[in-house]
Amino acid sequence: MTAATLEAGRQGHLDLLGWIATTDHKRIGVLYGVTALGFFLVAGLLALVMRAELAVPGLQLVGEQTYSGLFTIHGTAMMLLFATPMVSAFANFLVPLQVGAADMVFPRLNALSYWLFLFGGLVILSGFLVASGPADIGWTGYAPNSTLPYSTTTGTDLWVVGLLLTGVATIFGAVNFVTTIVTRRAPGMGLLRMPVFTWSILVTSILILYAFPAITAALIMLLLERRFGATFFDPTAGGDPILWQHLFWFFGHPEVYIIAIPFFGVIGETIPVFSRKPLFGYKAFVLATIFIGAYSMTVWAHHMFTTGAVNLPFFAATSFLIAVPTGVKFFNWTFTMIGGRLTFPAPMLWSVGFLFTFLFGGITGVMLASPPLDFQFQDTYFVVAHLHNVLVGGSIFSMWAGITFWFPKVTGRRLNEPLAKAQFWLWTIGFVVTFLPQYQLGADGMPRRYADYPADAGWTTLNMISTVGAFLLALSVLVFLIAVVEALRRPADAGPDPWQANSLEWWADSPPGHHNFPNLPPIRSERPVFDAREAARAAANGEPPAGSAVAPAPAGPGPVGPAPAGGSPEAPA
Amino acid sequence: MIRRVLDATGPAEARFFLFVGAFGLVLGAIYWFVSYELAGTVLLGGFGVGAGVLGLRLRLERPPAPVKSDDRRVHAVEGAGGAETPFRDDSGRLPGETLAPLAVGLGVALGLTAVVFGPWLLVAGVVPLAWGAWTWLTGARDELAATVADDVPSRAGRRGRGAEPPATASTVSGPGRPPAAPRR
Amino acid sequence: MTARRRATAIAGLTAIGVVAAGCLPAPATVEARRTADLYTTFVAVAAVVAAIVIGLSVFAIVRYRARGDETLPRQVIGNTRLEAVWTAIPLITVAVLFGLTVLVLNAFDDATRAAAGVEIRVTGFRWGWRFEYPAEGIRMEGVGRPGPEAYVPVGENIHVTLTGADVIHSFFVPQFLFKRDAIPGRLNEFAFTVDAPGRYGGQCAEFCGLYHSQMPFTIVAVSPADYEAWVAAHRGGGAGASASPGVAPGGSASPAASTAAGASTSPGASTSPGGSAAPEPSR
Repeated sequence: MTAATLEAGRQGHLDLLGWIATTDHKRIGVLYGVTALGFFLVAGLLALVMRAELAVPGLQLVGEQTYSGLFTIHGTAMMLLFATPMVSAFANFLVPLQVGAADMVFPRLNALSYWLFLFGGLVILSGFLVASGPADIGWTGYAPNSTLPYSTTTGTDLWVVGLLLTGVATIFGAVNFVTTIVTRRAPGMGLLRMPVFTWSILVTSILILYAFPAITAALIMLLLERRFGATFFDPTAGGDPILWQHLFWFFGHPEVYIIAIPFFGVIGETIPVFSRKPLFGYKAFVLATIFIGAYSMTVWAHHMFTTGAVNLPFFAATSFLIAVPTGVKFFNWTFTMIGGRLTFPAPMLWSVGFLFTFLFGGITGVMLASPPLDFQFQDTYFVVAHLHNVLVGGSIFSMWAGITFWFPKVTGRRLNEPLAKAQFWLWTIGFVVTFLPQYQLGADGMPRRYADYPADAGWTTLNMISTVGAFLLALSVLVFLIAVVEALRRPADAGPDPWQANSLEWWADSPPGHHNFPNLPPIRSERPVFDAREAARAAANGEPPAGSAVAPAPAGPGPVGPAPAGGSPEAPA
Repeated sequence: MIRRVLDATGPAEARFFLFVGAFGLVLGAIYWFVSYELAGTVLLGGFGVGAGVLGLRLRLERPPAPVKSDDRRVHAVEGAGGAETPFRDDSGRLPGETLAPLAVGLGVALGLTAVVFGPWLLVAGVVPLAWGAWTWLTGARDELAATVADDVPSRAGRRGRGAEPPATASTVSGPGRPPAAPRR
Repeated sequence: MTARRRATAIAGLTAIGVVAAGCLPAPATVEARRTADLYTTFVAVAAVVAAIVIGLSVFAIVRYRARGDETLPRQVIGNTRLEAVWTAIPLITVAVLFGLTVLVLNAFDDATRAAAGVEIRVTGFRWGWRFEYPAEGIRMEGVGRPGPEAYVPVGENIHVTLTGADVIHSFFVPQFLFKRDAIPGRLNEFAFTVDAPGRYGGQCAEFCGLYHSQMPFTIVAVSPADYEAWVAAHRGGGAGASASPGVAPGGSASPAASTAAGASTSPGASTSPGGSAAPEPSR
């Protein structure tokens, strides 16, 4: 029985077998995205419980043990079950489309990655079902607090096992992306004609290849220490607690960039489209991406400044340096807008919002790179505010930009604009109200991972404000879910290229067919679809063709794109 | 060989990985001499060597491309594997739907959880793992055999046939038909 | 909503951010004053950078929004000279910040190497602190709230040797603008000189398990004469230990604190550093 006949029999209803048996990169991408959003909702609910607990001094909702479980699973799930898989979701759906391929190089391995991620995530969450409760060690799992006899919950063992599974899944995914990007690019697409999102995924995947083995090794050591009596981290038996921190942060810092660089790539895609200009300084942007990736491998111990066990100037220098390529990207983005013709549908709103919110995460990051300032801010709410500023204000803002941008490509439907914009404003206000007060709390010296704080510490008002903001964020997510349901009830009428965009995925149908492209436009720059559209416009106006490209798209103000079927012949030589 | 590695006209992919590898090694060396700290030096060195090996592998894969990258005829004549996509590989077919990855994933997850809950889970995990691995491997083998069989005529009339889409659609004319890859 | 109003709204939210982000507590030590000065420099640089980037973005949003025409703007792909400039200027900026950082770091090291006025050995354990003054023969420890009170003389170089008994803790006094991890199997050294008499609250900053939030301590800075009097009163250990089950300041009895204290060793009881005799809670 062929896949074609299987597909033919399943029109019109939810094709469950087709989804769980799929090896199609687009379906796996959607599976990744939906699953990651599911974990996002769970981790978000945990955060709401924590914020509710912290709203006023005293323990009202949960006790210390429960609170430890909440922030451990919240952090783990947000970083490794939501943000990282969300990168995989975007990359799975987009990379083969953007390089003009029919699928990934290893489609079955791709499916295995997804299943390992899903089961790993469920194993981690299953800590809530065992009698002793979930992991209670923080998402950083510092030894020896994570070893026996200090962390006795079964959930901690499940946390280790689940992270091993998701880590291996992520490595498999990275192998697939690197191979696909190196060997499956369409004719004409040199490395320096790849869309910046695909570039970001290439760099990210390389980071994964070298960062995730470190955490895998550390987790195996922890598992051996907890279950089989080995001593890697116990100083009374000749181990060293600092070894865990080196291994963890050698993974952990690149991890931060693994979930940031792809989203920089997303902004590198959206801003040019809605400015009607190419990315200002494409090569500089690519070079900056490479440098950010490379430097992110060398800054891990800036999380360890207060241990007194690392070389402070080396890590301060590399951490400062990483601000330079990040700054270059900011100028790339703003100068793309300058001189453009800007429109502000939801994806562009999110992108511009990203520029403002991420700026603060970047600036406070430079402060934390200075060890004397870090001596005050480390392990306080300043760090909590900074990391949420970077991850929520940076990654999640651009994730929403990406979701609203590519939603028509994935589903064939555009999101309802007023709903999408309402979500943006709720989220932006919620973000500011939630996280900016935490900077002040941290500067005042409120440590993170405190289930409770004294009533006379002066932290009550700011905590209350922060809690209100968290519920605004939750409301925003609710609006998003409503918008998705509303969109899916409409017929698919977005057309192949609703935004008049640049890269190859907009040449395919929305949603793309089984093998993505019946044909490809000629690739002469990093904007093949733009080139084809302009050539068609010029041809329609009777101008001499700028290039030899011929595209079937009609000229005009409306959505312009290739005809769904039929050919745009390869340019004659 | 050294001259080939250093040749600046090499494929961009190789230069990219070689640069990343060199970066890791240089930073690893600096780190060692400012800190004499072993764990970080090993990790940075591993990063440098790992990326460097990838770069070397790609660099030694083929000779430098003989054509200018902007020569349009390259695309028309070569179609693939020209200066811009030197490592192009569009052999192989797309597998059809298969439950093998799900079974393997489930088996590995159950088996590993045995560390926490006891060996009975290992037994529970082996069954789907074995079935999944068997299905996976036989499926891949049949697919490979079919590809090899197809490859002989396709070399004569390079991708003139629309019937069997290669893994990239760029040269397929007409709507792609899902491949008849063996299932199970 | 017009683009101008939208831009103003975003800029307004950002301005709230500038105001909200971070005023430090009043620095209480010589070292803290240096850190506070460094922070002021960083904030000033940050304000300039933020003003430039926000200014450019708002300018672009307001000036270049589409006004109905469908013509394509000029397709500028870049400007090498401009790109070189905006690479070089941040590079110089962070180089200067790095230089200032190293100066402050060196001052920390100099203080640690300088002759110590008072030597204190501090050990963090689950969930409390032990302070030992080897020269004075004082030893005290406390768990839960309000935690132990360690006296130090004003104006003298206080040299601390820090370690952890079981897991990693962190010695953090917000008004000293300083923390250092208490790591089992390692000795961390640092020094500080308190400027003015006062009570400076401290707490654990590295997550160390169940009652991580319930292990405060207080550094009490007094004049050298008062310090001598305190030493005389407490010489010989034991007597001065403050480890009574605590009522949280502010009057609300914290059940967690009393549990922690109740499960712990009695005042003055010895817990050998590096040993495993730290109190375990009954879960």
